[in-house]
Amino acid sequence: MQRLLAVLGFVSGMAAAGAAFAHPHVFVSGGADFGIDEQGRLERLHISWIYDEYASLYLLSYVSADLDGDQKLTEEEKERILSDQTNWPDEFAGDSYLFVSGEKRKLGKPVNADTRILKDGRVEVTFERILEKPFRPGAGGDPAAVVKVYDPTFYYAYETDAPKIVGADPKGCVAEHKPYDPNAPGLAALRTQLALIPRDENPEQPDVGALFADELLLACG
Amino acid sequence: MRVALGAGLAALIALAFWAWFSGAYAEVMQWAIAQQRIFQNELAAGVMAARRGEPGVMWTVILASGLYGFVHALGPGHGKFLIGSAGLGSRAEARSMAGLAMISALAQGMTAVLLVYGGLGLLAFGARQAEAITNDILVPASYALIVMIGAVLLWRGVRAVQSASQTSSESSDHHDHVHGENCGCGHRHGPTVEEVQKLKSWRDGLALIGAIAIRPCTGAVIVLVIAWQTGLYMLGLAAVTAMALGTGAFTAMVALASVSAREASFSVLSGADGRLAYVAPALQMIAGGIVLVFGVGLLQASLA
Repeated sequence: MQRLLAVLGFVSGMAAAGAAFAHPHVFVSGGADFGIDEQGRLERLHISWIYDEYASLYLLSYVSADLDGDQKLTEEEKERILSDQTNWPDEFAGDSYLFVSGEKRKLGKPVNADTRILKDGRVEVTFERILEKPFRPGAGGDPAAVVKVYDPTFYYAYETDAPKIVGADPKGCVAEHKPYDPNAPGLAALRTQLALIPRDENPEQPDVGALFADELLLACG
Repeated sequence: MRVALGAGLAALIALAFWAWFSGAYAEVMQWAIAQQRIFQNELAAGVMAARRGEPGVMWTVILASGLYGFVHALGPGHGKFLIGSAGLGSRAEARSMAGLAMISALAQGMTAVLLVYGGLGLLAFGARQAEAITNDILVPASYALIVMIGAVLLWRGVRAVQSASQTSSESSDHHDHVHGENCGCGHRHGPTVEEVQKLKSWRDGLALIGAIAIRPCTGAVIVLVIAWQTGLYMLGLAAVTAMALGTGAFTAMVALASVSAREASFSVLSGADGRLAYVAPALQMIAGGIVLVFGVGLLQASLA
């Protein structure tokens, strides 16, 4: 019995040690605003990513921008940041997703991108993603548009602000912000599991980051 | 004495089980992630202040780096895994295992310095290339070394069991191949064996340091890229050294724990009937087997 105990203890210790360091690693705040066209349809999402101080400093360093630390970016420096941030490989879905009735709608690659350094040194990257098929969500009892901003692998943790409605004709549209509920059943346990995933590995559940995503809703009556 | 040790060991095991299965460990990890976020932002603020030429920020950066290294080490990584397994599966003393832990952490920091300062400075790599080299070459290389260390541990365990069963069939109470602290038994077979053992342990130590150090920590690479690009070379070096000392301090604690756990198991499990001869090889085989399995898994994942 004692021998068994010793072996079990050892194995459990090793299991603990075999995990490694934890997700998430980069913290991004920002979110998505809804862009409405002249016909009152949802036409585009205005995305903002504000990286945490550490990630911002690293981003600036590896693209050689603002090395003097005056927090001003030249046009060339902006271009280097944007080329790093908005030239997405095909397998990168962009960490922002639009759902209608639970189904994903297609969003375009970034356009009208810009970047700046905030007063506290954080880097903000903004861009727009245009819907393949604009539509008026929530009209006549139709389902609302739901946007989630998240990294499927939860390497990046996104926090969103309340969404704004912008564009040509936003009349009748109402946006709602539903932050994810950290106390939802099972979610705390899952989050603690994720805290044990090594930096260079991905979680086993596909799309696990979706479970920690805030919901940004738009309905136009 | 044995009863007390047994009770202590059982309590430790119970604690480990409780921490793992109740989620307390994961809670600690979440806390560590939050702390890490705080320290890395402190670090960023310190570097920005240093760039503006503010005096006295060097120590802020060094302190934040050391604390970052320590909380980062709370999450188990390949270093602690190897050091812990080697502590259990070898007969190394606590002091030398703790020393190995510190040396490998420092060596790991220096790998990051070589990679970033060497790569960016001498070979004009881009920062992204330094990252790619880490992920595509150094990480798999580290895992390959881990697989080899696991195989060697396992193989030695098997050999030791074989030789123990041969010996015990000749004389059942011959306690060879077990070196407890107050156990001077057995091994005085002359200088050749001693020399071989010394050479072995010297090589073992080097293999262990190599497997740990060859893979630089991402946190260190990031700090060094920032330091190099902003011209704060010495600050980067100091920050990474502090980080390595912080990480090494925690790994050294793991080393001490693993050696004490091994010694306690030896004391508890050694019976009068010579079972002890099997305990050490068994631990070695288990440690080797687990290191091997984890290593293969990690290697596969890193090459996928």
